[in-house]
Amino acid sequence: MSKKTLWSLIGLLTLASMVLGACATPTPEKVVETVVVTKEVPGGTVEVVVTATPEPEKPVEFKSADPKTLYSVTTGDTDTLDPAWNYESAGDAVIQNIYEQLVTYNGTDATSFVPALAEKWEISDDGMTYVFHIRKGVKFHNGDEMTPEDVAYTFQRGLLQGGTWSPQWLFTEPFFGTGIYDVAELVDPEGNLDDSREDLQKADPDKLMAACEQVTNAIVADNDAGTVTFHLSQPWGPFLATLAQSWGSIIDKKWSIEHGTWDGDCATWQNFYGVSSENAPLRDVTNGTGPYMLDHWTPGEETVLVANPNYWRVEQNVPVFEGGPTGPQIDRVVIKLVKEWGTRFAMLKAGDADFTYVPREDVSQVDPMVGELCDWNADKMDFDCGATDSPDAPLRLFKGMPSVVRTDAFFVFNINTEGGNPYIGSGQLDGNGIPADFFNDIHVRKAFNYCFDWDSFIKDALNGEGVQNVGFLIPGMLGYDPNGPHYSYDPDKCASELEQAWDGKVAENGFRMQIGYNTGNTTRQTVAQILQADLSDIDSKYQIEIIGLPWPSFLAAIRAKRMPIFISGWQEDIHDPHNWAQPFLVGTYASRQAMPKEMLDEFKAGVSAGVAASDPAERAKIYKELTQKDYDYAPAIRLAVATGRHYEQRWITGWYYNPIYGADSRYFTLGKK
Amino acid sequence: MTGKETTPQSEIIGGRTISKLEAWLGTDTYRMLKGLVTNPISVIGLLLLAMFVFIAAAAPILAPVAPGADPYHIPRDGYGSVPKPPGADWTHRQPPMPFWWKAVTGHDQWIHLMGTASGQWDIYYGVIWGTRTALFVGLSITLVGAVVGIAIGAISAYYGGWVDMVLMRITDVFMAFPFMLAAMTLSAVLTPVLGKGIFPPIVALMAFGWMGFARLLRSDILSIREREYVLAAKVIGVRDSRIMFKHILPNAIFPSLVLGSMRIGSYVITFASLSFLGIGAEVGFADWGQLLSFARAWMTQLTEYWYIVIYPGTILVLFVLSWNLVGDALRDVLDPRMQGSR
Amino acid sequence: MVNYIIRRLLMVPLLLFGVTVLIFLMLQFLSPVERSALYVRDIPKNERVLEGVIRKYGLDKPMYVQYWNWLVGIKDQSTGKIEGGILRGDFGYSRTASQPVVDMIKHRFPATIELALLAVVPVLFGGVFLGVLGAVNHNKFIDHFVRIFAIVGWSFPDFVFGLLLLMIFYATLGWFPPGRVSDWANQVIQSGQFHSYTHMITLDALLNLRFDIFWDALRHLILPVITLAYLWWALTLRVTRSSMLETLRQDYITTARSKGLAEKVVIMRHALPNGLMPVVTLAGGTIVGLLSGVVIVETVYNYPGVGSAAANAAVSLDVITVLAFVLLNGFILVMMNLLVDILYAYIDPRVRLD
Repeated sequence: MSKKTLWSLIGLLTLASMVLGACATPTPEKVVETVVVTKEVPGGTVEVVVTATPEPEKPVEFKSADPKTLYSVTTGDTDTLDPAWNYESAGDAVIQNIYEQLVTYNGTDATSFVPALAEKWEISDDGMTYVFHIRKGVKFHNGDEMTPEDVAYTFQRGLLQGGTWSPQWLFTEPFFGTGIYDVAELVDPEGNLDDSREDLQKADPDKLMAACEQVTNAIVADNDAGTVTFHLSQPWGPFLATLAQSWGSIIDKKWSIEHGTWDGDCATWQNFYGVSSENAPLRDVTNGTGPYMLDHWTPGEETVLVANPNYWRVEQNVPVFEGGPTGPQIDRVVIKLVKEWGTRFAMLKAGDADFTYVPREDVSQVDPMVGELCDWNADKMDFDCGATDSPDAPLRLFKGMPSVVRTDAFFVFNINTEGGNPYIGSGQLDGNGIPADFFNDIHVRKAFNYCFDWDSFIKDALNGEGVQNVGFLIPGMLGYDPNGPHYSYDPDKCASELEQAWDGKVAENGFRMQIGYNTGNTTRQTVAQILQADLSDIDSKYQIEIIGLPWPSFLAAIRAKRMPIFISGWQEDIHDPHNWAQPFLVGTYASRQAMPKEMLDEFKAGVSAGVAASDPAERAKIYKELTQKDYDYAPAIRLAVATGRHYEQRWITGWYYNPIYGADSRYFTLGKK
Repeated sequence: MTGKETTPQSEIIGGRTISKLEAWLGTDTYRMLKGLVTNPISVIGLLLLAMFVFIAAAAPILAPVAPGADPYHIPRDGYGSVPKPPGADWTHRQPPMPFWWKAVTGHDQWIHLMGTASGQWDIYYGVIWGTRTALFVGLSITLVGAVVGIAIGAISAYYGGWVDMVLMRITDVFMAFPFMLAAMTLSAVLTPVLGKGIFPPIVALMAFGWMGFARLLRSDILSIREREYVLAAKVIGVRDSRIMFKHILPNAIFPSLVLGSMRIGSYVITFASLSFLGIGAEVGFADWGQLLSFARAWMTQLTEYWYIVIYPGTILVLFVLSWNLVGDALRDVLDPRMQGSR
Repeated sequence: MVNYIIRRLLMVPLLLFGVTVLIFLMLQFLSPVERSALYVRDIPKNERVLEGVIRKYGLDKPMYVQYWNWLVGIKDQSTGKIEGGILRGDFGYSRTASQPVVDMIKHRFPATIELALLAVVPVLFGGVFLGVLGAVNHNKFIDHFVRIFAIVGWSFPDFVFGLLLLMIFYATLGWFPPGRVSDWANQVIQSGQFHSYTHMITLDALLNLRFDIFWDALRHLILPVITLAYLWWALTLRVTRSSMLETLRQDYITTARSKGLAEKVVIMRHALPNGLMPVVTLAGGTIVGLLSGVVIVETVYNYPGVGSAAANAAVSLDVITVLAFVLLNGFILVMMNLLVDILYAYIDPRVRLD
């Protein structure tokens, strides 16, 4: 028996060693040769220590196996390719290469613009009329010639297709006034018809006709003059910025109608209103003027683009911006969807991914593969590049660039308790829950703000690459003051605020609530965990539980205002303070937070004044005042803005950074060796 | 075989000496237990199991937590993503040092004995307290699955006819579900109802864990029912329920025992896989699958961060292995066809 | 025999009915608002539209009404068109795969079948080989070693094992890439010259005489197959081993041995054919098991089959997709069981189907 046991043990050990052995790879030994030679010099010999002279600097050549195809490996799949409907970055990356806009960003600058499909434009003195001269000789991928009519149709159809989930609110506001987020609100200002084709079809036909005419009168094409004129309802500083994004992409009217979009008749538009992302007519067909054409899109797997052989910029020799490229240098772009980080990392290592999404928590794994480091230099708005300690390593890293994304933690003022709400426990201040209006007490909101350890967050969750945000704007923006009023981690103040909250009942009984995040989002998870730890450090009866939820449940809980605190991120659409003020103080987030009316009204007045003001100094003043109000009311914990990172294989050339595009959306500027 | 020596207390039955122990346990049980302790494979399994039970019982001593703190919440040392190697010092919110630490090592400083995983969760605490989770998860799911399955199998076989037909079709329906996916869906659906934690996946695994037992028991009962001693009991007029509980069930239950012991391990694996996919225990809950899923992103650099996979991975494999070894040996022992082959 | 088959086939719809009812029961745990997330990708901001969705799909109605709607579809009041209804072949729209469920399955199922069929070979042969090895060397070192080797595979979480293999054989050695085919091969396959007869790339490549593509597709399949095989060996081994042990003790084997036949001949000629009978049953189960066992393996290797799509769907509660996958699986399971029973009756005359 003992013999058998012995054998079995040996078997076990062998296996264990196999498992362990598979993990260990030998580390190459570094050999430094130092030789002592005797050298004859006139007048005797001297001993000279000669360190092995480094080989004459032979620059390492980085050559890919397949220089004609670009492989981008991502995690997010495209939702729709309809430029008027798409409102997320994965779709943007495809649309930006297929379609073009009237104007485009001037290289790396997110605030100045150069002509694209418009040759030039004029803005009236009152800032309410824009006339664009449309470029001639530009052909869509199917061979149709682009006309001013196409341009006008593009914007009319986008507006009339509507959708509160689409980016169209960026146009309804300048055309019809602040606070109007959907074309259906021209028919019913209360917003009862939003997103509902069924209800809209039942509306008064005269009202429908009037709404449509409001749209067609705002955007007028003149084919003979070759112009398109936009009539705004008020001066709108960021209008060019709005046009330059993917939702400003020009489509082919004839082709689009063939595919089932609005037929151009004001009597029928209600039948084309209220699509959803899966049945939008242009969801999976494309016909742009851009440098790449869609080869195929296999949802969940890959998107493949091929170069446009008849690209107008090449034919007319118009570079995209001064000193920029004119046409695509790579024939084929393969955008692959790989959700598992380990698999993506393996592809990067094997050289099968030219660039890929590297989650912030995994950067230390990739850093050893970086041979060239490019640091952002804010003064010259460009990168300073140099070799790293391992100059032969295959990757290039761009880092330190300002990003335009931020995650915040929002308090909900009036939590929905209908049908019971597990997120707030007992629903009372008995130590086992919180009341629905818990966050209505300013002391609670302030306490939570004092109980968040920004330093830990920036050091651990952002790898030290970030700064605490002051107010709702992001650093570098008009009206942002890095020395403005802000909270910082202070357990004593946190404790004393909690003692004052709810007439001392909070401190007496404690509280318990749940904070949710969507599973897989590490940043949101960490924010919740820091809040949990910092509050329980004050007293263990301040209890926060953290639950991860699948995305739909998470979203549903936020929408229904069931979560006491929700953590969410915003990426700006246009680089303008209004794009932050609007959602944070009056729009999306404010409504999800169920902000009290008097607070909302105060914010609303400031936000409307801010976007209408034309003088930058005046605007800056308004936004500073709003920041002070935001500090006083403390409706959320404004966290931190991280700086960005972008890894690529060193055989890639021509990558440039414009914060508005994010990491990798303009493939035609890239080359490959 | 052993047992040749007779002790004064032993009695003689059927020309074979039998010990008091055997008489007390019954011949079958005795034979089973004896088979288990004499088979090298099962001895390893049993030793491993004993180790796990010890770790689970001694968890508060092996890895003490601060008074009032939830022991199943793994202590963490900050929030950073880069794992720290075994032996690193505690810097934030250190839990109390176990009293034996200084006595054994002479050091005053409590350390991360097995390093920290991504997110600075202490692996040692996770491994120790996770043993309790693993035992609880494995045993509770198997127990519920076995009880439900055995009840359904017994009812089905006992009544036969349309009862059998209906119950077996229901069993078929449950079996048509791909196990992993059924568990994923049900626990995802249950999460908003039961709250995030280990209970949604446990309930989900229970709901889809009984069919094997039902089928097995049913077919065993059907075959035993035709054996002579049962027929004989029927002939002499023993009541049906008595036949069922006294004669049929005890004999039919052993294969279920084998199945159960093997299942315990697989459930712990499935539980870990659910954690890997982001369903299951709350983040930071002491659970081996959770620890492994912390390692998910770092598995690409095991030369440097081996400890984040090796410690939880090894203990998980050993746990499953131990139950399988016992189960495997148990089957060899119980299988009547195997008797005399040793 | 024909009677039996017909009777068994009649059971299929009944079983699938049961499966769908069970899934609908599970859905009752969700609130109507959450259930509406199952039907529309974006939960509307407008409360009234949300109510509209709930009304349209009858999400606040009793379960049997919802079930009926799901079976036969819903008439859209404004257009008069019928939407959905699985009896009409409309399984709905997969939120996570961004396409109709039917398209997703059509597109991805051949990949999964290809993987499962390829994996069955090493699973069965490897397992049988190990099982016979164990039985012949009963209770010797080899027996213990083989068993522990297989149990370790069974005990290894597949995601750990899969990622380990990927790191060694792809990232370090560069031999076996993840995915299904390389991009160059994909271009050929999508071009007009390549005929996709079965949509299983290895088979199609052979039929098109494109051995380079065959090799490329095989290279992508090797790691998933190894992972699946190592996981499943324990099961095949166990069945083969105990069946062989039993067979080896039969009288006719003893007779054969006593006749002085070489041990090899005894085992190969006499014991093996009988000892492998239970493996036939197992084979059917293995294919079914592999089809659902690919969930994690496909995720790790980024293999575009139905398994990874289903895993993705289950995690984000895309029940419509999960439902279709479960139905498909149930169907295959029933058919496979039937096939095994018939095969069994065919090779073992003692078994009668009635």
